[in-house]
Amino acid sequence: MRSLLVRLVVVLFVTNITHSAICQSLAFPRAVTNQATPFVNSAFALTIDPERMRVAIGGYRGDVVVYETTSLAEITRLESDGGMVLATAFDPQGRFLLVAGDPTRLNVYRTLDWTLQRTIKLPFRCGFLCCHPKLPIVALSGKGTSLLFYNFETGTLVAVSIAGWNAVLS
Amino acid sequence: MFTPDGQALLAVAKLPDNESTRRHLIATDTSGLSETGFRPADPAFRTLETTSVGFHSLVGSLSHSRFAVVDQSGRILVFDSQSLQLLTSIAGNFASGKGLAFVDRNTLGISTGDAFHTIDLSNPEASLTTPSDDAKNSNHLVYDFTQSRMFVSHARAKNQLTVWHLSSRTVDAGGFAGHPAGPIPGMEVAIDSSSMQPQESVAETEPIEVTSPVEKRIDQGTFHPADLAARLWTDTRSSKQIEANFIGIDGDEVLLRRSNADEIIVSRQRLAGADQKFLDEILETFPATTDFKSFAETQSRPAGATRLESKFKMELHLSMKTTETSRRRLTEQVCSRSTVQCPIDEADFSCRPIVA
Repeated sequence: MRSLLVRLVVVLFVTNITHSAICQSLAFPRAVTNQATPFVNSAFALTIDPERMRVAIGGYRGDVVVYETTSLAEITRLESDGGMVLATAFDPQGRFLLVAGDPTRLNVYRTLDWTLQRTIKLPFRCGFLCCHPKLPIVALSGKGTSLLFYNFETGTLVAVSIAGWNAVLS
Repeated sequence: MFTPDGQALLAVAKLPDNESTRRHLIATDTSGLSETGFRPADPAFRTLETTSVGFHSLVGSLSHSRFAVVDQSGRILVFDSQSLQLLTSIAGNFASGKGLAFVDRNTLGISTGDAFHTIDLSNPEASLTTPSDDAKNSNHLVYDFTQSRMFVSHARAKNQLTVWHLSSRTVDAGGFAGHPAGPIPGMEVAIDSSSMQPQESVAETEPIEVTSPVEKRIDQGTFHPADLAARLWTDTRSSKQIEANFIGIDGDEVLLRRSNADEIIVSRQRLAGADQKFLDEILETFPATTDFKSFAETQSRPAGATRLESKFKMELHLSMKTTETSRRRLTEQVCSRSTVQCPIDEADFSCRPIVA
């Protein structure tokens, strides 16, 4: 009888501990931070560089804010040059941040010091962009446009896809 | 987006000779792309999928070993980036899903305007829905694998960047703010399970794959359901099989634990005949397993917590009720159903896997 009581106490103790742990992880996913960040305009573009712990967001007002992912502290704020930001991406090596939107341009920022390296004038309003995994090439498109390939280190147009299709989303 | 080797570019496109409403997921050959040019200038491409309603999102997993799209009919399609083969098609209520991101190569997060969904690609039945006003006007999801956080951008008047923490997947026990978790209503899943096998090593967080059956142990006069051998359970509705340990049963709900510690609650009615028989024999051997539901009903706890408390109550009950005879009977049952040959040792009634 005594043995059973001891086991009962032990099991109830373990159950209680486990229950606490379970309650803490019940919500999946759960919002741990939902605060208003300093970013206060309607967002259209979001990209992350998790290995270097930074996330960049841009939108209606045209400025791009880069946050440190752990603390959500603002790393830098890239001022608007007059139009909406519609797409943004870090290159795979994390050396550049590419920002596209209105006016029809692609801005290339160096992440070392967040200086604007170059602005590439585009023939259309770019809504989508993605970087090549190995080459300094970015593919850009707008709604219903051909696909453009730029070398973002030199700013030169590498190719225009004329494969018979027009991009809608990329 | 590019495939991980840069040999192809994936895009949603409109072909000039098609109806205006048709959209195509295409892969175009970019193997001829260099820093200075593109040869040939008119690269080949092929259509992977076509829809008449349009696509919302196209995203890759962290290593880009997989990519996924969601279309406006609510389907999520997952492809292998190397072979460009369709791995999974999930039809659900994702028509308004504008934000999509991989958590790991087997888990997708999606925002549908009124809720966040976390979809387990290897076991969509265990996917979770978390209703939240914070999902409104969301348009992009990006996942920070270093901290298990999902960053979400919103096109709205305030609070345009929200951050979600994705807690451990080891407990499938509830939803956000008391909302029930569970399969997404109306979700139908077609999985090519052979294609979902582990592939090359990737940098992203990988779920632990089943490598061997769980070692069986019935010792010291105490029976713990978690120590039963892992077995294959069959969902009659989807014909999908999972390998998992039986943990407990609470009315119609059967609690199973997979080798990666994920716990799944499935309806007993959906299990195959062999599974039903196994459960009948467990209940026959240990009638106490039917005796713990009232405990949960007396507690004002979240549903998941009460289920798990029920499990512990059951284990307690079993440990108090187990007799040598019942242990032996159970040992025989377990061994006869084990995926590993497992002789009964008359001395201690323990099961020991035979190592080939």
